[in-house]
Amino acid sequence: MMREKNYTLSTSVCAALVFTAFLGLSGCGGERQNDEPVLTDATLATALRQVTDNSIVPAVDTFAQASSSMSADIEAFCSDISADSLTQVQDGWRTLAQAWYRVSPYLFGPVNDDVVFPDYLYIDSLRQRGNNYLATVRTDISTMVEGAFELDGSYFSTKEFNKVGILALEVALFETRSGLPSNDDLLTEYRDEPRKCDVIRGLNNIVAGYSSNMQTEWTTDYQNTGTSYRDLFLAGDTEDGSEPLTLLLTRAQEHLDYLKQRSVSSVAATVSGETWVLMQATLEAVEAIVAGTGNSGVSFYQLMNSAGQSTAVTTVQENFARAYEAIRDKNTTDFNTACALLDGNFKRDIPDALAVQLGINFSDGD
Amino acid sequence: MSLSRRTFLQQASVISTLSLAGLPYAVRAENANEYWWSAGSDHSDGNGVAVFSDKGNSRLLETGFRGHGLCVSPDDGRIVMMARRPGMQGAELMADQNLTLFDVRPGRQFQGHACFSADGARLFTSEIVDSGDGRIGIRNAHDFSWLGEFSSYGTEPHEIKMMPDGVTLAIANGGLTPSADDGRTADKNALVQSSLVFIDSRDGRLIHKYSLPENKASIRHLDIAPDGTLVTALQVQRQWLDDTEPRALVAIRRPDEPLQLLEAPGNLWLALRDYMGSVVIHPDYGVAGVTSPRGNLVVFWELSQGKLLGYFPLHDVCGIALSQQHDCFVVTNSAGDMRFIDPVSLKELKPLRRHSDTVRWDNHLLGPLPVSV
Repeated sequence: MMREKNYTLSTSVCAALVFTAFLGLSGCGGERQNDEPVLTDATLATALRQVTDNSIVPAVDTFAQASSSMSADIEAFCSDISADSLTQVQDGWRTLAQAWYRVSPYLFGPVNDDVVFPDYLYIDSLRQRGNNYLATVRTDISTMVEGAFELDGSYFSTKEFNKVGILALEVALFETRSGLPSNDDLLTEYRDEPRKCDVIRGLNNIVAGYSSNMQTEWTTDYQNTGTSYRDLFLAGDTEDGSEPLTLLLTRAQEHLDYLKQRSVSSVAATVSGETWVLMQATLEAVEAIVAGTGNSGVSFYQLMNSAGQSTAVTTVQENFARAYEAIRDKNTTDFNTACALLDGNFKRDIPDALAVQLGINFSDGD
Repeated sequence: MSLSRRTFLQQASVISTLSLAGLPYAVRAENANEYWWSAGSDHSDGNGVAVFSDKGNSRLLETGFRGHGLCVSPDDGRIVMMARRPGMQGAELMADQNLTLFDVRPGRQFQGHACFSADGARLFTSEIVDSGDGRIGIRNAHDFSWLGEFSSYGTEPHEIKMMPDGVTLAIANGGLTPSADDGRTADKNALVQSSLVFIDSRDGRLIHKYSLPENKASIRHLDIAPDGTLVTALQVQRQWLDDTEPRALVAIRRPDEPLQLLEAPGNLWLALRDYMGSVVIHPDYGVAGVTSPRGNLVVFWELSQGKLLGYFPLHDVCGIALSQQHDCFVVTNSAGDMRFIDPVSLKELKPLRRHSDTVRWDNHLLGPLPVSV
């Protein structure tokens, strides 16, 4: 006979309900400031809002500010080419790159609004399956410096994604066209080849445009809706109908998968030598999703604990610790292993503990 | 966010309002509802046939195994769901609300799909032997007794469908030799030898066999228009490639033409993440819709010229079918969402949105089939 499904409570939800009952019996007067938050629809929404307001939007703001500061640094450098001003603009790039790696776990909404050519590719071409366009960028910078055509906004507006972004800026700012890494050689080249300043101006303007647009859409007006993406996201009005928490966890998981699959710690920012600083920045951004920040009243870790999933919390924390240790050791193999473990945590342990469905995870061959 | 494990008790009272009395399914009647069918699961990991009405009711009829593809008999509207590979069982939904289960023969594994003969008398099932060699099982479609088998002329047949002539069987041989461990994971050392094969369903005679230039592309799913145009959905085994270049994931075979890949921008192929899950052809508009659950996209091509028309985003989308009046593409996902897409504008008709809090739709969607209630 056909059997109707008898629904049963999952372990985590049972635990949450038991815990809720316990609080109800022992609270004697309601919620206290130090009470552990209980896993409910409301607390999940609160935690999501706090991640959005304390991590995502500030990361987008910082990236836009870093790009704007880079513009000033470039103007200062190009008007007075010196060791100090070069160091300043290089530091500006470091800040910009770190800021981007703090945004990159959140590749949805304004930064990912086109399937074929999403904005993020123009900032970070490595995101396209880990394709390393270093050689392409080097060739293109030489073409621009050696050419006689005008390096204006019109020219840069037609540049392909694999010739622009933080990689192109890095190459232009940290090595000469012949591949020499010393700042003395760089200063000589910038003095001898004024078009190179036009190159970094144009390249940074592209990043600045995307970062400014991203900031506007997250905070003010998303695609002329009159509403910020922040508000749309928290209201569940996402592009593909995903629940916002599903979207956030899925993108974070995909980011961890990207770091591992593309062995990003062995190919990113190799010219500047900033690789591991960027890995640290991006892991911190991922961790902030579950751990919250100093401003967070409710974190997903707390909600997992309240649902009786402290073992899962410990596992995730240990895997983050493992990743940070690999970063300190500059060990790509260990880093990729840690990212793979965290990938699994974001795919299964965390959603399960929060009773969130990410999807069926369709397998090859089905 | 999907919170149904916390809130199901509130909703459980409304999910069982659907009556299946009055079948057979394909008989349109006064005041008929339309019901959509899919393999599905609930949030307690129960598996079975998921049914969803156009009134928004849904429920899961447990089969005891995770299902995959469904087909409907052309004579009396009986529905058969096959187990996901490596499958051991199939299930028929009966008019008296019973399930009839039938088992795979010893030494064979079901591969997730089946189709009926044109007269509804026989059921063809995609099967493999342990080596991965393909077989097309033949059963009596009423009592599921075994009648015989044909070769699929390839490795690992997956979806099979009857051509409009009612005689020729189209077979997507996926080409992935499954591991002995789980019957699923392809051996990394195994070469993909995927093919699209046409056989005579009366005697198993090979009529045509096509393959693709990319030998790491697995031809797995297909749909067929009334004029015989066939569109296949592909999956590329990226782990066996040593590059990250985009690969086409959809191919078309027009009548009397070879199988050829459809075109799209490289970044779109990349966004689809090497995985297309299901395909349906809208015959009235000559448009194919192909889903990518990993890419969270439905992509549409016009078929006469092979032109890319556009795409529609939906998280974890896989099931796709046409509405009863062919006025919409209908797509489903694992979150229990159902979306209706206008075949001309390719825009969603948002007022028609449906959602099930209790049932997760699996790969393939069948329907709608009207049921008198």
